[in-house]
Amino acid sequence: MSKSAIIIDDEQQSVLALMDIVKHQCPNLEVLATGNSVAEGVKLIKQHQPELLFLDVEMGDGTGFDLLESIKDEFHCKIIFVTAFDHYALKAFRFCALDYLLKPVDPDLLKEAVDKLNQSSTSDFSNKIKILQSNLNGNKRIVLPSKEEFFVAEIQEIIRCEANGNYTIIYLTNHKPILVSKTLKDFDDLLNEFSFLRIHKSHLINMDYVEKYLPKEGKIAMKDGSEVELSRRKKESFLQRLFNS
Amino acid sequence: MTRRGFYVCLILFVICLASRAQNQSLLDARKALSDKDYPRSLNLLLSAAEEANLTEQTKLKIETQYLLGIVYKQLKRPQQALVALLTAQYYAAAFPEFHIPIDLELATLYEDIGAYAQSSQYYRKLYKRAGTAQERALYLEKSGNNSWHLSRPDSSLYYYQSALALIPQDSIVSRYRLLKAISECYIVKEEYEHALAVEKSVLPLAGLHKSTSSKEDVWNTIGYLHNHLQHYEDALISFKNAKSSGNYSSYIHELNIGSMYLKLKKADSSITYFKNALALVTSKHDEENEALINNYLATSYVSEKELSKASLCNDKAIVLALKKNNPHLLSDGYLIKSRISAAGGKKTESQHYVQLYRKIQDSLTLAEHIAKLEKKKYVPEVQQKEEEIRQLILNNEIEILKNLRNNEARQKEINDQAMQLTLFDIQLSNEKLIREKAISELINKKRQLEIQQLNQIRNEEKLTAQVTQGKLEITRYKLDQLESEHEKKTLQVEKQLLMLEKSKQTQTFLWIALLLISLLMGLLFLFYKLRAKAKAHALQLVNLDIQQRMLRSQMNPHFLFNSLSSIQGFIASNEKRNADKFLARYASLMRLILEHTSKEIISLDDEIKALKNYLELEQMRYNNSFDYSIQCDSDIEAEHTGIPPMLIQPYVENAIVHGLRHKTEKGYLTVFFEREKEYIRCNIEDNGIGRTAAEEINRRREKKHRSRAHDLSMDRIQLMNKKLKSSMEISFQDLTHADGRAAGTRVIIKIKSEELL
Repeated sequence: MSKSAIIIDDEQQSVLALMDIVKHQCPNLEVLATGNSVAEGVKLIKQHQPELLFLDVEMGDGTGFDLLESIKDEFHCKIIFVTAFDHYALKAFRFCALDYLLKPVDPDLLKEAVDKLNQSSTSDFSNKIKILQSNLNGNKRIVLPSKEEFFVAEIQEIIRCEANGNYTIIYLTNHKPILVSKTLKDFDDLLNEFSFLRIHKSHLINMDYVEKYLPKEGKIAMKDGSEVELSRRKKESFLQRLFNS
Repeated sequence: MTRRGFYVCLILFVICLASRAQNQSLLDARKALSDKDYPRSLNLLLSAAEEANLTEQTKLKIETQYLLGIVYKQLKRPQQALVALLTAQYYAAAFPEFHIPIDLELATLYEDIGAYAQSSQYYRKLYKRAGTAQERALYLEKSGNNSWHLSRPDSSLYYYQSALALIPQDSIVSRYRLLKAISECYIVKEEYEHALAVEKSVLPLAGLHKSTSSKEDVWNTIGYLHNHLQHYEDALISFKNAKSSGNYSSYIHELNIGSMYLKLKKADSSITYFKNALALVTSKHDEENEALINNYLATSYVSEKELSKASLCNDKAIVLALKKNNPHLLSDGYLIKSRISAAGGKKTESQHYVQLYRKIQDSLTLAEHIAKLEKKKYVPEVQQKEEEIRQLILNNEIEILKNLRNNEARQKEINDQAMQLTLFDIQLSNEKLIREKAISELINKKRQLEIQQLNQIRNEEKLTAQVTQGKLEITRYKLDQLESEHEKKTLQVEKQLLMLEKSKQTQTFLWIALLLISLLMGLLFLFYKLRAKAKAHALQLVNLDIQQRMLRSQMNPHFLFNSLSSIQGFIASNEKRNADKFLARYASLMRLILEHTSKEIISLDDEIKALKNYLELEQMRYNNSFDYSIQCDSDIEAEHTGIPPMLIQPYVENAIVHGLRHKTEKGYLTVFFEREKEYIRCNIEDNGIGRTAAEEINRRREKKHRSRAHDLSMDRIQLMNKKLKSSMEISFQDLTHADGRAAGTRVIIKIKSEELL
């Protein structure tokens, strides 16, 4: 059963290239229309009601987010974001665990992304989009994709993150710990702009939940009663953060 | 008690204000104390005391010792309590806010253990500092109690009366208590008139409060006093009053009234009262009192000359007294028996009973005497104990002083050592000075020598001048007739000689000056050179960073163009799908490189990711003509190992371009990382054609091959070695088969690594 899709990108060459790859990699996907601007995109989406949307993030008359904003209510499709290189946008996607493609598009990765999106539920996806939209003026919430559930946490609810192989355990204020299939480095990258500090190779902590520092043991007591090891190398930056905040 | 509670609160408040750093165990101890959990409080206080001793916080010491005193007192360990309180007192010498509560605790403690004199001292001290009249009255009363215990009724009376004067009319309980105490004092002093007067003033207070006794009791007391004063009429009235104010009938009233009637020689009336009393007592099976009343009854019967009734009662009394083993009652019984016998005309029998009576009385007075002596002994015992405690405290103080002195001694030692060091320093500098002096002396001597030399030269000049003059005179004398021109000529010659000599002198001066100037110049030169070198060094360090950045950016174009040409190849061969894939992966690698080259250090993990990405590209370029593997030794944590970026890729590229590309069969490339102390050793091994063959091919192309990437890498490594003081290096090994044929090349890059978080 074929699914309908729309491609919106302000560069016609990119549209053509993507169309070509889609045609080859996902024969079940039928591209109904393509557009080159936000305005055109809005019109096409309303007109065709596609199931899937390939959406460029930076366009001449606005961004992909602007487009989302203007079709907020009539929005029923799943989206794959496509971007050349926008650090800010990438971070926003990662906060919501949304898939995105980088230009030039890798055919294999495109197939992967489409397959994954087909498997995920519509409600989960629209929730992620909602969080993305609410986060756009500064990130406040984060999607923690665990094995069974789709968990949304306020960033200030996170007490600390602990590495567990390629997984990370997230300790929250009002929820049992969650095992997330991302590395601690991923969380470090996402959260270091907030009150988080990497204090050990296995620990990322929220400085707002530091109860006290135990210099003899080289540990930090958190407000939830746990004690976290402090790496010698990070002692200085930890103390600096502790006294500057 | 409420007052003490108030003081405890006060001192705690004061301490809260005073000590900024609150002691946790002290807080807990206080809580435990208010919860009456004394053992727990004790433990906490002991740890607090230890801490206080360690941290030398005097106020904390005072507070812990004070509370310890209270706790020990509650735990009935007065000796420890005393030690604690006196220690607190010792420390509190300079803190007047602690004096009152500590003194109060000490006063009550002394009172508890029976050291009334000491207790009294503290109460007097407290009295002097007391704020309100009520407090002063209380301390006076306490002092009175202590004097009472010390059998000093006079001073006791004084304190009580002073206290009474301070007490307002309406405080019934206190007034009652004091008046009672005063009357007791008078009684002890056998001033019954006074006692009587006091008791009469007690009467209106009686029965007003549950802690004051009933009117009945007061009337009884008044009655007894009248009795003592032999005012039997009055006593009878008093006892009758007592009986009428009492709520229930008691044998005491009957007995008292009866005995008064007996005293007033109204034996018949007395008998009815005694009989009443006897009935009340027998109904309660109070055998002792039964004996007592029977004795009285017997006496009454003797007065009434009813001897048979008298001896019946008397016998009963004696039997009961023997049964109860009560010597007082027995002696009374025997006395009455003797009287009965005397009244019956039995003289010898009477005498026998009188003797028995005296014997018992004597033993009783002896017992009393011994008891008194025992009591007297008790006081010195308490004093002895106190002495012991004082000694203990003194020892403690001595210990403290010793510690202090030890500290001082240690401080002195340190100071002495410091002094010695400074002395040593001074000596050294003195020696230096002496040496400098010696040097300057040497220089002076040298100069003197030079001067001497100069003088000698001058002397010689003079001598020569004299000689010449002498010669001149002689010549003049000898050759008088010689021509004046000739004389002049010779003189001129001599003068020229002198001039020459003088110019020699100036020459030596010039030489010295020249030497000095050249030395100075040399020094200046050296100084400037050093400064220039330092400047150059600083500049070099700054340059290092710049160069590093430059080199890193030079790396990119090199790889970039190589890859672009590959893409060109795909397009040329019209492989659309592969071009798509290649381009995407190329873009991804470019992203990585862009990110990495902006950093001085990246994780080995990231470097391997970039390498994989690169190798995938190369595989595509060369149509999968080779396979590859990238592996890390188990003791390397790739994620947490930091290395400089983009050092390895050029050699992997070399292995492919020069080793594997020319190979006809499938090539294989392995990259293996292993640890070597703080270095990571990266082995890049290919089974390519080997270096000699590659060089041969390059030569055949008639294009002088120079691996630009290698040169750049070597420059980078040298710069980094300088900066990090490391010994990174790159070495090549030619691999051969057993038969000597080339089996490929191994490149080993020794990279300095650092731990990453």
